[in-house]
Amino acid sequence: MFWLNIVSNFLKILRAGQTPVQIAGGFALGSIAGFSPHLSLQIIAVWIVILILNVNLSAAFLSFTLFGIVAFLVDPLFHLFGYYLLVDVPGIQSFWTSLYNAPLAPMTRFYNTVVLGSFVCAFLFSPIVYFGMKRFVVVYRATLGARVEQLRVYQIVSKSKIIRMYQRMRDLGE
Amino acid sequence: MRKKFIFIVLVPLVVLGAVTYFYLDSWVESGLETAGESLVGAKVEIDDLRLGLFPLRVQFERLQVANPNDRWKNLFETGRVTFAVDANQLLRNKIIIDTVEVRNVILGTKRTTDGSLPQRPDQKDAPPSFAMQLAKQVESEVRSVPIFDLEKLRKDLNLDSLLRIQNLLTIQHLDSMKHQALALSGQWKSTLADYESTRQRVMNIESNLRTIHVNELKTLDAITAAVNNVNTSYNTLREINETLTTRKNAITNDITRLTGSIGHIDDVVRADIERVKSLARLPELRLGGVTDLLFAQQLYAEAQTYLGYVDLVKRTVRKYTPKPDFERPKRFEGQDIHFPVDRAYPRLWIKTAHLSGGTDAARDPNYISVSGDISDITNNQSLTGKPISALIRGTKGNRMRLEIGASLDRRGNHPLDQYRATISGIPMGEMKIGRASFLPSRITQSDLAINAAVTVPGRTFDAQTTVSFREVRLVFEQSPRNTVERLARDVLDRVRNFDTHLRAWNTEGRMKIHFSTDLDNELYEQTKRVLGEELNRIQNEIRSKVNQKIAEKRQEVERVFEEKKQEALARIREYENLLGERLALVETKKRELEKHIEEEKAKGIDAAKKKLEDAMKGLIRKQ
Repeated sequence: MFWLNIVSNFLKILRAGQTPVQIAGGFALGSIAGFSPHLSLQIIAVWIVILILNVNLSAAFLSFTLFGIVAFLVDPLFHLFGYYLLVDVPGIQSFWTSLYNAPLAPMTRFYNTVVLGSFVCAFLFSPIVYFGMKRFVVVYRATLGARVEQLRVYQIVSKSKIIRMYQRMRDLGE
Repeated sequence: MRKKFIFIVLVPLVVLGAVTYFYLDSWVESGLETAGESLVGAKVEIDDLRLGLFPLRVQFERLQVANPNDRWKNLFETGRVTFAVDANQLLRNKIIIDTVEVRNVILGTKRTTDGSLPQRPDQKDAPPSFAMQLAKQVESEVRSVPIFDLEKLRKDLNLDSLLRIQNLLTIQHLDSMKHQALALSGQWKSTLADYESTRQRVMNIESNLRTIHVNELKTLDAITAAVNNVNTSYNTLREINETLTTRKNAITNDITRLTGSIGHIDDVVRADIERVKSLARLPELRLGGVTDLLFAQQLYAEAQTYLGYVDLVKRTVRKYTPKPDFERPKRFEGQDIHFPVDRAYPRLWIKTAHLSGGTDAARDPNYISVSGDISDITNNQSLTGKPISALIRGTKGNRMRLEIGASLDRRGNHPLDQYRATISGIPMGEMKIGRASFLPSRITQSDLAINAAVTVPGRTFDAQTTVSFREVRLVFEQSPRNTVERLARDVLDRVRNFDTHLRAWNTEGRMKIHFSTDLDNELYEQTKRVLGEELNRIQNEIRSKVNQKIAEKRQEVERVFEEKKQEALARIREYENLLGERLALVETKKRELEKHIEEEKAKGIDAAKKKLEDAMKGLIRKQ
């Protein structure tokens, strides 16, 4: 039900409320956290940034979940990419070596192929995710939202007994 | 920036910090316990761990490490343990500890809870440990030690069943000899049948020779014909004689060969006697046999226990192996790529662990209190460049003293573990010796001293232990049931001090053990003196019964062989005589003919001389 609540909030926010920048920011940061397989030092830092910046938390959680699933599917590619960066790119070997000898840096586990591969990919994709999401929110609010709400599937789902029961229970709790 | 930053970020952070602060101790405690359990393979329990952050130090009040081979005992337990962690290296994910202070170290304490862990799958497939190999070897050695109960031996000895035909190779050998003798006899008969055909030729030659009457030969032609006749007869007889000699040699060779085989029967009989003795399970009087019966099983069991500890250390301290170039890890695990480090530190390095046995007041006289130093405990000796070394001294109740030195080297291609231990003044409460079947008894009081040296290079090992028993008091659980028990008891009754030496080694893939004591000579001499005669008597009985069983068959074979041999030799002799006589006849005829020729020659000359004289006389008268 926690995730249902997240989805419900996200849909509400898509319609109105927070700005597209806030929603896209949360979504992009959540994607960075979602791509990572472990809770390492840099991911804790990302979560702190999410909490400090005034970005949408529902978007961050939703993005974290969605990109977590994507990360599981493309994990072998992260491994290959991370291995390539750590082993096959000679120009940055000295950088990795100095990072390996620096305090705290080893605790990020950057020397792990999947950790590095996923983090670099997430970092590279985050502007695309950010701008894509921002554009999507604008379009959704202008035209797409009305069309989606008229869809039969949306009406069936939003009027279903389960959703109404959940909403009543949620309201009782408040 | 979020407007409600304090509530959304700071408060959770403070709460997180508080929770961490209050629970960090138990998390670290639980982490250390889990890491220890994965190393040892048994429960590791830490009590009251406290973590100090500035400076970073850890202290706990008690550590119990359960014995994986005995779940109701600890390998050791400690009092307060204190150590400081190098914070700078901790930020680099390395645990570097200069000194660990360990107080009140006690070995082998009893546990109130089960110390075992569920068995790991890799343990099930692990190669057999030294302790297991030793147990297997001991089992077979112990089984092979014969019980010296001559009365029982005599009672159980059923010679008739042991002397079954299939157990005696001599009978089969004799049967084969008889068949050979009969077969050769058949061959000789066919050879001698050929002689019969030549006999007629010899008789013809004889009658032909007898027709020659030398004195009646008057003409030159008659003499020449007789000489030719004798020469032809002589050549024919020589030819027959040569053939006879060749065949006689063949038969003589057969006889010599068969005679040799019959002489070899004695060897086969001796082998049969040894076989029957072995089937009768007659004990060999050998040095150490009796002491094996008395002490070996108990001391092997002790050695097995201590080898279990050697195995445990060998399993626990592993050689650091870097990961291969490329792996296919499980999802979300990835592969760690390691880079050169400015100053290489291993993941874990405890430079010195200082153990103190505590104060006398705190010591429990029932357990061993230990003090000493263990140096360079690490997961990667290639980086520290030093083996793990330990020098530990221990005492128990102010009487027992122990000193253990160890070096666990994982720097080379093959791991090398070396141990030496000296333990003295071990008060031995009670130790069972002997067996239910041989002199069951107990040592009720004794002081033990142990000197041991163990070397474990790779998968091989060599352990030498001397156990010295001093001021021994023995209680025999029952009266001697046989002679050897009585003898062993007589010797042991007089003994107060003795040493035992046990060596177990595995250098060529197979476990070998050797056990001896300084009682060996005395027990051996006593046993030999009394049992030697009795054993000899049984052995003679077996020898005589085997000989008796074989004698009839042997006589039959020897009789058949002798008959056939004599028969063949008699025939040969007969032919030799026959030929000899005829050859002599030919010689006689030859001599007569030569004499006759000489006479005839002389007559011819005289007649010519007379004719010439007469002619000369007539000529003179005419003149």
